[in-house]
Amino acid sequence: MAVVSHYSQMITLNMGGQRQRRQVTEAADFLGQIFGNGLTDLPNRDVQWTLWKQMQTQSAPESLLAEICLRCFISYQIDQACAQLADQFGHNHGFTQLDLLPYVLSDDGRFYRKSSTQTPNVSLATDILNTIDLERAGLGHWVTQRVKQHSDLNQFLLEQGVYRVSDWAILNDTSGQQLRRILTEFHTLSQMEIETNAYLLTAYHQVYRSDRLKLKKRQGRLCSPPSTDQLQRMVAFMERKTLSRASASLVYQSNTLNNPVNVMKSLRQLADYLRQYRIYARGGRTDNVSLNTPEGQVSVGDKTAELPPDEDAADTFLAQYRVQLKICLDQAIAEVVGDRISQLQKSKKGNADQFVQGLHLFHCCGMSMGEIAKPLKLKAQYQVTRLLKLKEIRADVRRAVLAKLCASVEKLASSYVDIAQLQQMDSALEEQVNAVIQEAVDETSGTRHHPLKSLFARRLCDYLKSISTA
Amino acid sequence: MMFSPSNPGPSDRQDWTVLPLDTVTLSNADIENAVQVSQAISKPDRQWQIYRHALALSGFKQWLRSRSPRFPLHAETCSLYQPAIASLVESVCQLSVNNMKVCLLALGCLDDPILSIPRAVLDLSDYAAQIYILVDVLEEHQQVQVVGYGTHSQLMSQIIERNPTSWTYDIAKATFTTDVDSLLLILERLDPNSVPLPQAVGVETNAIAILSQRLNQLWPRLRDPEFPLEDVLSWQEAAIILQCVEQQNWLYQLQMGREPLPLRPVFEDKYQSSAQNIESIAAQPLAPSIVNAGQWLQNQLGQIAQDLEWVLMPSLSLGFRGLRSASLVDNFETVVASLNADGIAISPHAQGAYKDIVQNELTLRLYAIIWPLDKNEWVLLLILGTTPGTPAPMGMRLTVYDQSQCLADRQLSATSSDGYLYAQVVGDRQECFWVVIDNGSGHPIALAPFSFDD
Repeated sequence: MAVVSHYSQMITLNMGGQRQRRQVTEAADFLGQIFGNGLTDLPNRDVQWTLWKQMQTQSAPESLLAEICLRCFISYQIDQACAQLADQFGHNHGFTQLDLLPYVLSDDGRFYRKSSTQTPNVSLATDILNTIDLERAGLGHWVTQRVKQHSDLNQFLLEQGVYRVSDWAILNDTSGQQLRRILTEFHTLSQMEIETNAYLLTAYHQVYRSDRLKLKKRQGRLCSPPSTDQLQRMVAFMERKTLSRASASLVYQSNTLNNPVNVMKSLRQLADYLRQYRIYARGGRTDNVSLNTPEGQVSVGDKTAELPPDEDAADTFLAQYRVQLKICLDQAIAEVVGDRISQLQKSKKGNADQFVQGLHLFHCCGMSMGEIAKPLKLKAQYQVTRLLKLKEIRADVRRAVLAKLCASVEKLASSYVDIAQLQQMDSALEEQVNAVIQEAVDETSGTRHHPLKSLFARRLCDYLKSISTA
Repeated sequence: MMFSPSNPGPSDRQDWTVLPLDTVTLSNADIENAVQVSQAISKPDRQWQIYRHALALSGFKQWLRSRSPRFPLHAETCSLYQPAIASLVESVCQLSVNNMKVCLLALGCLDDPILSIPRAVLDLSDYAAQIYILVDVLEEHQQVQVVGYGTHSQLMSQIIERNPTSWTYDIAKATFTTDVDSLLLILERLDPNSVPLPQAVGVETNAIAILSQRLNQLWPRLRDPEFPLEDVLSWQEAAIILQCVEQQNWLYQLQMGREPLPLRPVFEDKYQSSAQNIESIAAQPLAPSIVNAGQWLQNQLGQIAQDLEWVLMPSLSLGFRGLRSASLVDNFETVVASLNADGIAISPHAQGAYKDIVQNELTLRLYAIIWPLDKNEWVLLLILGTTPGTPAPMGMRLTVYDQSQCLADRQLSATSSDGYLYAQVVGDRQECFWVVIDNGSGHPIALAPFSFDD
């Protein structure tokens, strides 16, 4: 059911970037005029439909008043969408609702005449009102869609490590073969609908993908919706193909893919089908990887180590080379961390110092990932985790240690002859090496404010010290 | 189906995805480089696939460098940089990492749990790999992630369905191991000789010959950039092409709009009549043969036409009186009379030749009549019938192509009272015409093309 305030209060950002809610008296009065006290008994769809009709009339005050009511609702919905995003990802990825709102909450809340030349840059709200189709879905749906598709907002979120695949990228990456399978088996569409969509996808690929390869400007690579020109060319492609294929002409006659507006609608619909499949295929995974203990989710210790058949031999080997372990660990740390530093030095970002400092703060000062962000001038824990990639470092160190240990034993120095054997032998050593790594992992999952004590951490700190004094 | 598309509730939240920590960010230079690699071929749908795989390779290289900088990686000679192959195989194969044969398969943002993997990289020894690596390519976000791997035998045992003509195998993504740390271990430590690969099986020369005929015949469609190759050629045909450099290059040249000369036209219908000839014919150099019909005007058949068993007809200006063989005259005169009735007039300056084509104990006779129209143009009239006394087979077909399209396609139907088919085409002096005939058996034969150079 509708809520009066959603249609009579405008949420805007003030000069200081603060979110504010303002009662629009004219809107509240107008709602009273139209609905009396009955608005709260109506579904949103009906309220929106009535206001939308009013907005289309030529009578000036009513049209403007209906529009402002709808703009109030849009501001409410944008606010909600941003709040939801912040709620879902903000904590781990270092942003709040207030970081998101400036991209999309662009309505200044003032009255102005539609189609006036004095109209400033069209706000998202006005743009939404110009393009929605209330027959297909309610206003709330359209607003949420547009927020999700907003290019600058997407760019910002990507930098924070959150992304949304656009409709256009999904269509780019779907083959005709996949489309047929998905629409048949998952959506159980009719043969005619499937052929129409396959046909549409071919036209889209011919135009949109080719254009994308020709794109000169490489900045901001997010896919934008096809332009009218592109849609026109898709129509032309389909018309041309109709002439040459009898089966296609059947399809063509049966639908209305003969103008850009309809092609656009059908493309969105198709992308939506595919997106639903994508979400289903991902198994409803929330992908909400807990970043609070990213270093806790290490795969190094999770293989249930099956001892090789020759258990005694393995034991002897391990006993003999336990001493070697430390030497190998030092070498492995120097190799793995050293390689990373030299790569970061070469990269454009030039964040090698940041990396070394981060490792130092984490291992030698016992700071948490979240705490490290500030001294490293990073926004959130996510960026620190991405910079240090501790899970990978440990896995690579482990692998390097294993290689070095094996190399020192003639028996194991030769290459393995199959994957099973390799994994078996690996697991014998793994136990030892894992113990080292696991110790490092375990100690980082709790709170601490002292240097880490694990062998891995101590050796790493020694190494970091050695390179800083070198 | 458990999922109800009408309920978009949970999808809103799942619309957003956290970027995994181990993704590699592609630079603008990587993107530009991938675009450049894709431009080596002309079919738009293939360009896109090559582009995505070039991105996968860039990302993979970067990932490998960051995880194991000492692994030697040799990508210079991989399939991506051989456009004739890249345009046929959707993957990065013939890649070597630490002496292990590796194949990269680029995944898209659809996250489809069913993968379509080119049969080439699993069935053909030249393209097969020991380790297949899945690479997620988020083209729009410039992110690449190595997400899994599998061995040749693992993949082969998990093929979901085998559609014999499809160019791809369907394999569940779940077949692949997702622990990429263990992939590094395998690349580093596994003895490459211990991972078996499919044995090389030679291609029969006979099969090559038949395929070449078909390529010559199909070439207008093969060249159409909007026509997917998979719709024209079966996997069996593609497999032969992938194993024959000549055919590969021919197809590539054709797709690049360079109009290569027809493949092995010297073959013609000989292979049909005498099987023992195949070896010797296949061994011949692949010099293109074009029948120069212009020479006929000087009463010369020409060497190539002679080799292909064309028989020059006596001058038509004598009103066929020169034709000594009664049966030949009967047959041909009847046809010409009925063509005249249809409004097809043969120039008094015309000259012609005919040849008999034996296929499945059935002999067809093709007459080719030519005459100059003016300074620049010439006419080719083709009449396909049978030898005298033999009824024309149902479904008999005559097709004529020029460089870019099918000009005429005639077929004998049950309702047709004529015992012959004809087609008349006009071309300029630089043009060639390709003729394909079929005796109704569904095994068309492409003839060496006709040119006019007097």
